[in-house]
Order: sequence, then structure tokens, then C-alpha cells
Amino acid sequence: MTNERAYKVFKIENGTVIDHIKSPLALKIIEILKLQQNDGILSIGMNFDSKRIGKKDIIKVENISLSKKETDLIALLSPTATINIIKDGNVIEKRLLEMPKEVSDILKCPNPTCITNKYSDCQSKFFIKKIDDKSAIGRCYYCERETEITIDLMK
Amino acid sequence: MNFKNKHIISIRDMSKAELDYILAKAALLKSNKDLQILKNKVLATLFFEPSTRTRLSFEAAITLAGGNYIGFADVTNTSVQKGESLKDTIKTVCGYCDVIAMRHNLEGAARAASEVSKVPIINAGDGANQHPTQTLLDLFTIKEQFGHIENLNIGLFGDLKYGRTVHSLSMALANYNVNLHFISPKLLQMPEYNKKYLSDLGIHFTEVDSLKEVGKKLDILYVTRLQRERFGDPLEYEKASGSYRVTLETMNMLSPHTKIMHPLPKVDEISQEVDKLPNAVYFEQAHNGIFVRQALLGLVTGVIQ
Repeated sequence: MTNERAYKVFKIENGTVIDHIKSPLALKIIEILKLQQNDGILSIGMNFDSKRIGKKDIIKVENISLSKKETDLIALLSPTATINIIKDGNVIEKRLLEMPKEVSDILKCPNPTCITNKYSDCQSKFFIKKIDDKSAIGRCYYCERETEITIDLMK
Repeated sequence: MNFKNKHIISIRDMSKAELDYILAKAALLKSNKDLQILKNKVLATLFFEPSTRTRLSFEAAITLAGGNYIGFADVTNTSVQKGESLKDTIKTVCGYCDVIAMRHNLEGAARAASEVSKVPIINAGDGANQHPTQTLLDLFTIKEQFGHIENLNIGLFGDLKYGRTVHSLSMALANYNVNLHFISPKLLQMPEYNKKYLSDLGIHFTEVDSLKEVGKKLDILYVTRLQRERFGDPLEYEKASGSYRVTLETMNMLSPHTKIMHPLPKVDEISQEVDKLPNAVYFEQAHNGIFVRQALLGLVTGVIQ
């Protein structure tokens, strides 16, 4: 017997569905992708049971078709997430996440003596290296320190 | 190979061909000391963090090759103290000179400076991160002593955890087929990320806590100082520092041809008797900094092709 329960989240005609987000990262992803600035409906479901990942979150964002560059940022936090782009009620693209090779102004360098933590005119920049399906290492472009990517590094 | 207007920020950015090219140009300058190649060139030495040795070496390098320098040795009485941002300082100073050599206490400062500078930036040390001209003069000295770098057995000795020079040097040596031996107290071993960098590149290294185990094999012993503040327990420091001092007795653990190198300044980690031995090449190593820096200044300003 499955422990998954049926659930309903507001259906969207156009927009992006981000599913299989590792709980409880939905709110952080909304913040990083600035989805709250959207005029359309934004629905969030959290803590659903998932066979694949235990507990999952889901985000539906209306009227915005997120770019690959944007959705790949999700891989930093939750590489398990899946993306469906919806148009006129139909899934027109099922997208897999790819770890971005570099990210700017998304992560905060954990090194307190990195230049990016002292001057506001130096934005952070990281080169990302995927380790396995669950983890990745980021190397600061400035101070060259390598660090495992965790939610604590998100700005 | 074209280095004109190129910034020299990190050994990580440089290919083996580029390293070899710089070393070859430095060797030419060492054998032709009278060349006034940097005539009419102005170097700005911006030392946001004091470093007498590196600054003097840069200033001597440009002066001896016919050029001039401007700059500051610390930030007292500069606009930095008034709160000017690093990028603004660089944007201003790059209008006064042909090349900038800068040292800063913050990691990544030289990289950030290079983003706004109209003239090439040479990193003269950014916090605990990189000091590429030191690494180049180390490579130059190794090559000068042995005629090649490949296949040498190189021992890095002392504080390998916090020592910036040994991190950069091992990264540079990864371009050559060398055997590295890391000799340090357990507490101060080479960081994992550095070892991973080397093993990913297929570089062979061993890790030991006593010179006895590898001493006779070594072509080079690169010494760094153990710093008291790195040890929580002063007794631990006393115990460790004794075994990481190079004395006439230590020399018996090495091969007669092993060369002793050190980035300097040294305090008591090498005894004065060792200075007199033909094995000691650290002062020559420091002098080589002049030619390596002249080569870089010439290359990035375009006067050397």
C-alpha cells in the first residue's frame, strides 16, 4: 500500500510547474528565482509524500515560462526537481535540470576574508562542479576557495 | 605567445606553456642584466598590506630595467583610509601607470581589481590565496638548479596547511611530472582540496610526518616555518618545531645534492650554519625574483614578446 495521498494544487493554463523539490526548499527557490514578483497565481505545496525523495514540495507559477538558465539554478539546491512548461493547458516541455557551470550573485562566499564579503561593488561568482546526484562543489572565482553547496550559502 | 595586457592573478590561470615561456624570458634577462627593457614604463606598487620584500623586489626589478615606480607601502595617508573602494582606487591609479603590482589582505582583491583596470594587474599576494610571482621565482630557481623540473623529487616541509606558497607551488608543479613529498606535522598537513587537485591531475605524492622517511630521495627540500599560533597547545608547538628545523644534523638525513629552498623571511627554522652550505639556495631564490618580475613586467606591457 502506498503512503502517497492524492492532492490538488491549482491548475494553471500557462506557466511553469516545478515538482519534486526536496522539502522544505520551495520557499527558498521562490526567493532565488524572485517568483513572488509575478502578478499571476503562485501556488506552493509543501511536504507531500514522494516515493522518490521522501518529502517533496511543488511550485506552480502562472504566466511565466522560466528559462533554462533560471531553472538550472534550482539544481544547486534540489537536483531532483523536475520542470514542466505549460502552454494552453498542455505540457509543451519536460525539462531536466542541469547543474549550472557558473553562478553570479546567487551564493555568498563562506570565506569571511573574501573580497566579495567586504566591498558591495564585488558581486559573488562561483564555478560549480557536480560531485554526484545530490551534491556539488562551488569554487569562488575571487578567493578560489572550494566549498560544498548548501542552503546556507544562498544569499 | 602574447602576454600584452594580460593580468597575472593566479597560477590556476596559467598553462604549462605559459609558465615555461615566462621562465625562459626570465632566464634571458638574468644573462643580459644590462638591458633597459622597461625604459619609460611606470609601475604602480599598491601595497594595501605591507610586504617589504615583495615590494622592494618589484621596485628593484623595474628600476634596474630602466623604468620608474610610484605607489604606497601601506594604506596610511591614502584615500583607502578615507573609505575609498578598491575598484575606485584601481580605476584612478591605472591612469597614472603602465602596470600595477598589488598586494591586499583580502582574498580575490587582485581578481576584482583586474575587472576594472585598464592596465595589467600583477597579483603580489591576495590574503591567503595566491602569490604567483613567488611561485614563478620558485619554479625558476628549481629549473636553474637542475636544468629541468620534470622527474624531480620535491619535498615540501613544515606548515603545509596554512602556507600559501606551498599551495601555489604544488599547483604549479602539477604541470610537470614531479614526485611530491609532503612532510608536516599531522595538524598542518596539506589541505584535502589541494591533494584532490593533484590526484585528479595524476600527480604522485606521498605524505609523511618525518624527513627521515623520504630525505635521501629529495632533490629539493622546500622549507616553510611552523607558526606558534597555529598550535592550540604551546607544548605541541615546542615538540613539533624541533623536528621541523633544518640544522647541520638534519642535512645528514638528506642526499648531498639536495637543495634547500625557502620563500623567506626565515626566522629560526633554518640554522645559520646551513646558510653557508652549497645546498642552501634561498638567497639566490629571492634574487631570482628580480628577473621573474622583470620578465612579467616586460611581457604584460608588451616590451617583451
